[in-house]
Amino acid sequence: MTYTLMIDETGENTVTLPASVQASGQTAAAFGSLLVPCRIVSSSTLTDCVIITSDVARRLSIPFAANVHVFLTAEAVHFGPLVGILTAGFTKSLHRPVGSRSFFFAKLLAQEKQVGGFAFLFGTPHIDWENGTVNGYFYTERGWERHTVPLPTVIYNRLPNRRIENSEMFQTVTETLQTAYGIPVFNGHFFNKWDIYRRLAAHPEAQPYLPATSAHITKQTIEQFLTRYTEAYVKPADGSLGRGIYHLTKKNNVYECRSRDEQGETKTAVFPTAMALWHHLLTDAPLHRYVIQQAVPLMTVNGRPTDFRVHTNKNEYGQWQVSAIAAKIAGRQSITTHMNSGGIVKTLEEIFPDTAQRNNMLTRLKHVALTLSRCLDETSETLIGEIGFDLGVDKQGEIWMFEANSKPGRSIFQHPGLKEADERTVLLPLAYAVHLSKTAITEPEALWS
Amino acid sequence: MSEQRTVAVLTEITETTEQPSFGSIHCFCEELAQCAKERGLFFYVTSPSLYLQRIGYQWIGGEWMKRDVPPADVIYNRLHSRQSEHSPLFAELLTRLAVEGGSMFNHRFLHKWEVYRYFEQHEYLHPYLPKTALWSNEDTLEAFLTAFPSVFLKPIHGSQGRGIFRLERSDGTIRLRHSTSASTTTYSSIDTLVSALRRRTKAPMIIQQGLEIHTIDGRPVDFRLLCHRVRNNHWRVTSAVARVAPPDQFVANLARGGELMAINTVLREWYTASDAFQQKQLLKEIAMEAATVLALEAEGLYGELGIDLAIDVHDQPWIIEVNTKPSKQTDMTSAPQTVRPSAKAIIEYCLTLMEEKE
Repeated sequence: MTYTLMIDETGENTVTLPASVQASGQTAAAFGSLLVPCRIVSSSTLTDCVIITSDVARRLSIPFAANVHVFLTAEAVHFGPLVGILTAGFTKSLHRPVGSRSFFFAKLLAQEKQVGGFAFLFGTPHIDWENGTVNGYFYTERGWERHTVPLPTVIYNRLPNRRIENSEMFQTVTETLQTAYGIPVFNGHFFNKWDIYRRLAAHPEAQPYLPATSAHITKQTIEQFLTRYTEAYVKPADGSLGRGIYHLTKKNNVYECRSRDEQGETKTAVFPTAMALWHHLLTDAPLHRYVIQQAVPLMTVNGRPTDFRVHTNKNEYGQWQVSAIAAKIAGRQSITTHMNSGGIVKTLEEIFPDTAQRNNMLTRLKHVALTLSRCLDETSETLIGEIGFDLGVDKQGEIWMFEANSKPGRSIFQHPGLKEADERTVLLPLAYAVHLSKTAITEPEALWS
Repeated sequence: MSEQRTVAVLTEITETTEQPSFGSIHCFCEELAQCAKERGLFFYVTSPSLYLQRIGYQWIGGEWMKRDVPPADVIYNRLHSRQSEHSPLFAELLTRLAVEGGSMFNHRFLHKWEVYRYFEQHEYLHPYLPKTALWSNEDTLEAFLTAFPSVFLKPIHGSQGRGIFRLERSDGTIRLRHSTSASTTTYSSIDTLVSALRRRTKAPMIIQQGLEIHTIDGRPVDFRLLCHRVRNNHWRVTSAVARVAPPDQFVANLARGGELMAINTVLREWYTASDAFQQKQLLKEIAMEAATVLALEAEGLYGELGIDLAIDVHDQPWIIEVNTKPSKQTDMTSAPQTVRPSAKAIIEYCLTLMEEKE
């Protein structure tokens, strides 16, 4: 439950809690990484609010009154959580702190009230290592505001791309925050397709949903994939948004390769042998960073191939739940269902008007997404809070997983039928952050085991 | 019968012996006809009663010709009078359209209070929403006049800056200005003010926090961003202009004598190049968020919205109001003979709607 945090301008050095919190013997109040000794008092008249004298609030750097969770350790009463959302690409404008992504974060931060606690946006330049504080960006009823607060209880990684995430500076900073300060970071990194494949392929529960994949693209593997499956995709192991994808087919001993150029036009090249095709790919793309994957003949809607985006999130209990499902229908002449190649988003209600058929599909997609989420989570060294899966259903009704994204795109959520799913997927990372904060504060050993 | 995809504009038509008149969107319809032709669409302009008789005006050889027409796949609703949208004919048209599997945008006129209520549900928009209430009694007015140095009263169904009151507290009196009559009156008490207001207006009004908005030569400036919907419910800003109020006027609507200016020129009057860039981007982003929220919340389809924004002297942008039948005057390209971007955007959206149904 959350409590209304009230600031008392008259008294001093005191925190008053409702008796129901059952504080006993604590001698300090804490907020984020900061802990200050003070008097802790229980009051039987308080029910759903906590009162902090203004001097304690100031020493703790609590930015404003809000609804908070209260966590107890033997020494201290913690208010929070204080959730730091890490990103990069800050502008000099306070009205638009991260450029065109500002509204995305504003929506995320505006959900904080529903969850309780404080969430703010920050980048590595905003950390003051000497004082152990961050000058973060908060989104309030008045818009963006900056406040200096202690280091956060947990960090939600929303770095915009792989290049920044892999930079030495970010690696060092997140490593330091985790190991030296014990601050858990979730969604630590972008997934790599080959890495995900290997982890899941080793898991008997996940293995049946994986299309055959290989990181060794040679004329032999091309020949082998096309002989066995007739069609295959060659795609970047670290790519997203369907960029740089090749669709290979073998028909009547002719090898065909389709791709999209920079203008988004589909182009087709034809080769007499797998060798010639392989040479073409070699000159076109850095194949050592690509994977080849069995293409699955997808179910169609009105004659167009269709796959599904399924989002899963860890919730306030730290358990996986399915938070959104949408269908993506490929554009005409498109090689993938990606929206930037003319794909269209539909709800399951729209494509399966029959309730029984729809529920059957929902149940199966959910089951697969949850199974895969748990398998990935078990094999991961870092904390994962959300995953976006691209799942396909073939003409026999079997489910396949094509992609797993740790930072799934949000463009599907403009669909009016996905409004609730939109809110859910924004809210859940913050709900999970509360759970993670509680664990980090009350049983840190559970996190680092 | 042809299988050609069909788009119709629905509006009030004045029929004379010569050519019909489509009012303020007459020229715009010619541009739409031209774009539709380029995209291989069958296109006509009709009214609710003509549509029910399967009659429309087609643009053929530089003239509008009255013809028998097929049912429309998509109707672009440009009825300008709310009465037409409440008529039995319009209801009948909607039923017919539903039976025939066609779609219509914009679904209907949205008034100021419902627009505010839709925005209000989205907390992240709050910093850009002036405090607004339905004007129900003296208490609301008094509360607003206490909280803010100036307050607006606007008819919820008003448009083009008509019938707006501006109330300003100064030295214990309240100064009342009116946008249409450009008169100023001073009242010594809320009670006398309220009874005067009650005499002057019968229509339902909203009461809105007044803003100290940025000016040029002392003339208030607002911004009109014309937004169009594209694939997958995304929105795009098709045109953005600044409107400068005439001297001695507090609204900048063109119908009230407002003057158009380029948005960059205005922002550069106030800001450095980089701040002007940030503010312009922000205005566009707010407009797109506002359009997205309305399209999500309001019943029916919306494909075109005019979003009015202003920037206050603290550089904070505000959403002033939304127009579901936006004027086409703000979307003039420099070359007068060319087709306006909004005409193209409307036809593209019609195509998207048809494609999404396939």
